Amino acid sequence: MDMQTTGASDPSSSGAQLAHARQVLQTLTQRARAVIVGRDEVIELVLIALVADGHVLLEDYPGSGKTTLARCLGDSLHTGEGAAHIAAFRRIQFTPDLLPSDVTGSSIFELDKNRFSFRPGPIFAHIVLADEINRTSPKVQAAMLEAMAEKQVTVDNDTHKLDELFFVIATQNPLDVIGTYPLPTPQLDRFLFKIEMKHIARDAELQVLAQYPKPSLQMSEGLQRVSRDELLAARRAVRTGVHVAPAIREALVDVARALRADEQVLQGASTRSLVLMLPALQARALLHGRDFVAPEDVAALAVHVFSHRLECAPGAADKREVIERALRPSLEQLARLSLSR
Amino acid sequence: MNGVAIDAAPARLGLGGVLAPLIYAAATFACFYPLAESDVALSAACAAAAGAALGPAAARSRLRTPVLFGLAGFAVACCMLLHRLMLDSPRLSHALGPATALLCANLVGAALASGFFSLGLRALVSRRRLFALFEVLLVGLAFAQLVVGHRFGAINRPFVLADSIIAAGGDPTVALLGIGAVAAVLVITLLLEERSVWRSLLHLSLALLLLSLVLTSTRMLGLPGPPAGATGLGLRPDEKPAQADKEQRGQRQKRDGQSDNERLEFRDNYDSQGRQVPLAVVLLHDDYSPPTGLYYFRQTAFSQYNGKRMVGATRAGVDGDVAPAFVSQKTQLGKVPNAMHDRAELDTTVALLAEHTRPFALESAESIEPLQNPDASRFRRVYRVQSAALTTSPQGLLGRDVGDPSWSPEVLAHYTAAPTDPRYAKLAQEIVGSIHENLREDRVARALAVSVWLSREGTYSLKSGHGHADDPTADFLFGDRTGYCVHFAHAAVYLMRELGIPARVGAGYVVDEAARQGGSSILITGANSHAWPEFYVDGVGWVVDDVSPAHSLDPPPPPPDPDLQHLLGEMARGFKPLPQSEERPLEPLLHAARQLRELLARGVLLALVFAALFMYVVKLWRWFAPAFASQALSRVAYRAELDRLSQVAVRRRYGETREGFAQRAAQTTPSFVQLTHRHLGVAFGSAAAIDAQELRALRRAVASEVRGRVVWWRRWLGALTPWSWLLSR
Repeated sequence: MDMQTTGASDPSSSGAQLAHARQVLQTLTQRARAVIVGRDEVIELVLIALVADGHVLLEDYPGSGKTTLARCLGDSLHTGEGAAHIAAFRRIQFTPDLLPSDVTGSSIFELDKNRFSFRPGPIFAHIVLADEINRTSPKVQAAMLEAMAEKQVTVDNDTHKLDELFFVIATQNPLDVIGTYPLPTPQLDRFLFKIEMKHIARDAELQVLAQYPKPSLQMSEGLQRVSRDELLAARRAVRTGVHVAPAIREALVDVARALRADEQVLQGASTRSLVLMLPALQARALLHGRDFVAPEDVAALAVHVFSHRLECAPGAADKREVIERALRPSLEQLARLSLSR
Repeated sequence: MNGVAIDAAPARLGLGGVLAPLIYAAATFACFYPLAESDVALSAACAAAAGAALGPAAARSRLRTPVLFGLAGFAVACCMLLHRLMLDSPRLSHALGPATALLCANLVGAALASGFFSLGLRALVSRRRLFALFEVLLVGLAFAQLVVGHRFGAINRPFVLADSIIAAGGDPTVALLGIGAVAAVLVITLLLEERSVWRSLLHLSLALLLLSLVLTSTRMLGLPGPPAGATGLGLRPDEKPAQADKEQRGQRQKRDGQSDNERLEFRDNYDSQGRQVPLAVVLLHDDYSPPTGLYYFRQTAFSQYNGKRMVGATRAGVDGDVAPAFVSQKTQLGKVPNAMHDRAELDTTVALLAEHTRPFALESAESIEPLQNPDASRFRRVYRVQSAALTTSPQGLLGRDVGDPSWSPEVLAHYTAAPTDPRYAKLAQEIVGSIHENLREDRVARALAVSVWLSREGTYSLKSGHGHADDPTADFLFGDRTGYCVHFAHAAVYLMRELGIPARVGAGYVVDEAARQGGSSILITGANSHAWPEFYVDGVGWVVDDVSPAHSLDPPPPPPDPDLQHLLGEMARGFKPLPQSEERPLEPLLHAARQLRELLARGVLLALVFAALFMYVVKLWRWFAPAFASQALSRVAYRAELDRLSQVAVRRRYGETREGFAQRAAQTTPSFVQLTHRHLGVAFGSAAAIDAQELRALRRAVASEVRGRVVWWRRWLGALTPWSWLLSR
């Protein structure tokens, strides 16, 4: 790889930082893959979101390994110096009777000190699994989503900052919708990706069964872990080190405009989604060993970024189809551009 | 990029929709052209175009389809009724005059009817695509009916098209082909009513290219000739292409003696079948009106009495004015006496459409000369005859003597031998007795009296019952006096000979001067076959003294088709304009068209060659560019490898990313993935520097992988294809 060679010659350069960031990503990938079998694509997307400082919404069936995935990510972090008081992983099971304070934490009166003090809720963790987020009331959803967007919670008019490394994996069941509070599109906008998980392949399922007596989380034991600071450094390195060509940015805007102009689309992709997409593209490029964003990244991520942000007209085709149709001219343009300069 | 390509609404109006009015106009014009005046056809075409243009608007109305259909049909019916009313209206023809009124009625009727018809049809097509089938069928039929009478190159029913083209000096086959090709293009255009104008344009230009190829290559390859062995005109019922039929045909010809007056037969029922069959066409090279109003073409003469009937002479020295057979060079026949006084020199060209055993010629022939056949597929034989045609009527010869003093007694006896039956002599004397006494001793008058008497007393009929008698002539003459030319000729000759007048039966064809219709060509059909009596006048030669029976049981034969006569005459001239002939206004235009066609053919060929050369040059340049490139090396090298893959039909699809394509192409060449990666790194701003060595190594790897995994002929085929680089994306 070019990056390694460049990095070896000049350790302080962005090339070295990038190489290090890639190392971090590889470590995380290795650990996740050791635990979760047959979901390489989901792992990749989740890691991209993690590095891109976004959140993901997993849409899947019960028992498909989402908790394992989230736990594994939490396990992969060793919370050393800095934010020792913050847990690496928390899981919140959303139910209709949950209250915002159950998520964010609450002020309790300390008798000995004779004052209120804030008791952080489960959201104060690096990686939070928000299980069945559509089962809880909009009030709790709003609190959760505020935390996701602002990286802070407000309790009793006191604002409490969350850690810089705050990553939410929310899940919802696509079929079991009775008694749920579906997330409105503006709130879905805060998720970087919506990932639809399909059932894993036969071989992969067999492999899962073969591991049987051993708890799956133990599969990653012995593998290297990543510290919070390393992960944050990787984030910074990706943002500054991976080149985004102007043509790529143009393509993004064109795709979004095409989506908005589409007859079948009622509400198109937001500008925020484009802003959020840039680091995701960079992260994916790095994950694939590149120091530049390629059209392939756009093609791979567009569906996951845009599909939950679109409101399609009744009777419209599959959202994936709509997006791919909007994508094709821009990708063609990018492909031609690469030969014509 | 903008969103135009994505949200472009499907175009409602395709090229076919735009061109439909034009096509309707062309089809309507073709439909009306043979039926009506060109003004009417033109106005109908305009109305059809307008109707077709308004059709889609009618289709968008809220009327239901059956109602629309019914309304259009009703409107067309009303127009026809209006046309009929206008034709019948006396007031209109009083006001405008009959010609103007007729034109007016036709104009209004045709225009309105075709307009409503087009409107209705076009509206239906706009509503339901299925009706397009009907539309295409109608357009095709409109053009087909133009040329339907000209199948197999047959021109015996020449309609407006072929005639005018031939008269203008053009080749009708090419013109007819052109009409067919134009119709095909129009039909294709209708079929190509696609949503994308550009695609329709592409298809239309392809169709036009095909059309030009057909028209240009037709001349190179030549049109298929008429079937071998046939006369090629489709005129004769006995015309069969097979050699096997020849014998049978020969027999039949001998049986009915139709095309050949080799023998004269007395038959009870003269078979009139095939009497309209054209046998020959004769061109007069000078104006000549026969004094009797009839052109006699003598093929043979029967001057020998064999005790039962007249047969061809078996002795030498008689009937020298009749050519015994076809000649291979200019041949002088027997000298016609006093040619300058009572006869006029006249040249004729004879083109035979059917086989004859010996030539025939306008009486009396002096010399005969074979000519080059201008159209071997149509004419059997062409020859030129110099005749000394009689300019004095038989009546004008009164007072001359008959026979020739230079004849030997044997010759005179030959020409005057008559049956021994005394009834002939008795009847001859009776006829002589009826002549005015001043002329009674004039032998020419005696001869004429015989034919006059026969004309008065005889009845013409092809059905007669004398064939089985011992002497059919006696049975005819002393019986019911009903018979046909052979009977009359024999009777006249016998009676003349009884009176000592040298006479013989001439056989050949006779054509009424009126049938010429002022033209210079004379069409000879089976109906013109004839036998006649003739007698010899001293210093004048053989003079035809035909019997024209006053009564006839048969209808006179129909006159020949004047168009066919004219046309065959033109063809006998070999299409070459005669020096003094009428002007050909189209000739320079046709010449230019021929030149243009040649130029076009050459141009198309040259353009193809140059295009191929150009593509090869570009291909080679793209192939070797990596050897010279330094800055753009990755791009050029990548492009060269893209071309290599394109040659073996591994090509990126529309909208596919380069990486996606590389993954797909990895089955053929795994190294291509890395090459793509390098190329994209440069294109999208990777910090890594390009390594020329590595790129070359990758290229070599791709090349060897392609060599290893693609079969050799596929690679060579790709390498030889000039346009492969156009397909690499």
